[in-house]
Amino acid sequence: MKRLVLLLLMTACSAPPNVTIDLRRSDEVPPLRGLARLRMIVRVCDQSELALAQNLPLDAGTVPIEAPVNPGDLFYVWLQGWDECNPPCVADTPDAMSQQSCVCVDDGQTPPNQIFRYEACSAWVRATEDALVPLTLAAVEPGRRLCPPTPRTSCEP
Amino acid sequence: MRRVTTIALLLALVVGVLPEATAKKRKARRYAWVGLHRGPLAPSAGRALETLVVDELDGYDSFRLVDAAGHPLDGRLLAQEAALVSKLKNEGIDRFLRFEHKAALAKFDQAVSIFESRLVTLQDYELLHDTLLAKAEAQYQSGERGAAKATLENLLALGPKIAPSSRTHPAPFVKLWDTAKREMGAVGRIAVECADPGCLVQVDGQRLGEAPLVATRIIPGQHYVVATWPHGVLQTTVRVSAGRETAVRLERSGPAEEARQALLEVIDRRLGVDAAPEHAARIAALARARNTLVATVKIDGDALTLVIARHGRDGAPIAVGQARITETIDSPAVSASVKRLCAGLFVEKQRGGFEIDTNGALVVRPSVPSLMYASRVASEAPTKRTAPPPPIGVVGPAPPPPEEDDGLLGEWWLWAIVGGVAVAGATVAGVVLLSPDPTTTNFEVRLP
Repeated sequence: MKRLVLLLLMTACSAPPNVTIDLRRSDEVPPLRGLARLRMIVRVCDQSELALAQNLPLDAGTVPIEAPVNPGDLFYVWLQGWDECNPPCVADTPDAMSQQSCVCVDDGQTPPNQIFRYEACSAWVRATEDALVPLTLAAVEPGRRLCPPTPRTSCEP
Repeated sequence: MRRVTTIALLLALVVGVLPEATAKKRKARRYAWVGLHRGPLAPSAGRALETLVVDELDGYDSFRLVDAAGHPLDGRLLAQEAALVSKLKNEGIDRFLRFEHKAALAKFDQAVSIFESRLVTLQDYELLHDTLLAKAEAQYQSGERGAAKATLENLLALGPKIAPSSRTHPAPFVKLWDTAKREMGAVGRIAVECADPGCLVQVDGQRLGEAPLVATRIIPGQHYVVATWPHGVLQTTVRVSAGRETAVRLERSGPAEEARQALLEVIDRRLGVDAAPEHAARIAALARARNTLVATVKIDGDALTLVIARHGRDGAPIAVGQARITETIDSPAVSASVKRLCAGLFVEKQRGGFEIDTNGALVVRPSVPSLMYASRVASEAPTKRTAPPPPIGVVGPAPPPPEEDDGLLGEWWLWAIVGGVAVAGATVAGVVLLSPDPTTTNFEVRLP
């Protein structure tokens, strides 16, 4: 009976899982401090709205973030490295799946013209418990984009 | 002695003429790419497959790919044209240094004209910048101050990296440059829209992404807008006024586009092999190409098939090959199939219909042209797949009806246990369902 009560309590008070993104950079990527922006995007399978689209501080060692992703949901993580570029630029936001365009950034960030140059993309992840996701930031290759991962026919387990 | 001299002269002639003749022979032919009729593929998958095919065709040394209107799709053709512009610019500078200003201006104008008609798809405009600067200087030296200023304004609009300084140019010319720069108005915008979906936009050599889009911070003046599809390019010149937005709609039209659409329609409406040559020949003529290439995706039996046709200058099909697409477009297997199919067409130079089988072997299949342009050939229609026979033991006499035997179901204590388990289960379910589930996930990003 005690076991049953303990089980019930554990189920009722379960904590959200922790997903650790261990980011590395490949040789062609400069140190993060040299980037104009490092952006993290989390998209849940079958959802049109992004669960997370946030700039990360470039000088922090570890960044904790809480994202509205239900434990057990299928999602992927996309890290984008942006560099400064010369105009003309496209009126757009950094969330756009830009085709390596020079984007006019109107969110108060500097520099005002930025181009998406580096990326890292996870596979589909389903976190029901703590997980470690190693990612490597690499130069964006035109025509061979890493994200999104191969579409799933179903988001169900 | 005379005989020796004659032989020596003949030898010299042969040695001198042969390499030139060989070089002429080596000059790559132009092949016109019509496009991929995507058949049952989704538009994005169709574009991805067409890009894959065009990339593969780009790699062949024996020909250079152009679109139906003759615009280069191959970087090597652009490099040839760029070499010509560079030569004209250098000749202009030579004339200018000999004070032959009129002749120099003619060379510069020719260089700019070739760049504007054939090279605006380049991503490096340095050649145009250098030519415009040299032209402006020649105009200034020949007393055409107003024309020189207009040329400098054109150059300024392109946002060049170069700028005349007192170290490189005479002081009055630098002053003219500064005046032109000062008089530039506020930056404007260019709103670009394409009639056909999937076009990538480039302004003054800078790739800006897929249309529709608005290019901002555009310096007033003349600009070059290019739309690129896997099957061709379209370019236009726009003039941006200070602080204003200029709208551009890029729509492919004209005889080359009409011929291209007509050939794709032959595939789409299955008008038959005989309907294709007329349009293929017209495209070859308009693109000044030796061959016309067109592709489609068909359903052959139970699989998707990529079919590529190669037509001669007269429009008659030389070879039509097909290869199965068994996986997603970005898979190495599809890339390998495209490579193998192109090798059959351009390395093995197969003629007539053929198929690349699943082992990569080339198999002659005369019905492939019909598969591409017409309805399926009846004799080669794949037989309808029948359901496999059921495994032994599955088919048998119907099972006997269940025996009516209460057994344990008649015992009272069994029902008491079932009732107890049901109540406990309902309690657990209630607690679990009513308790709040976590709706977030904690991320921790470890930066390098």
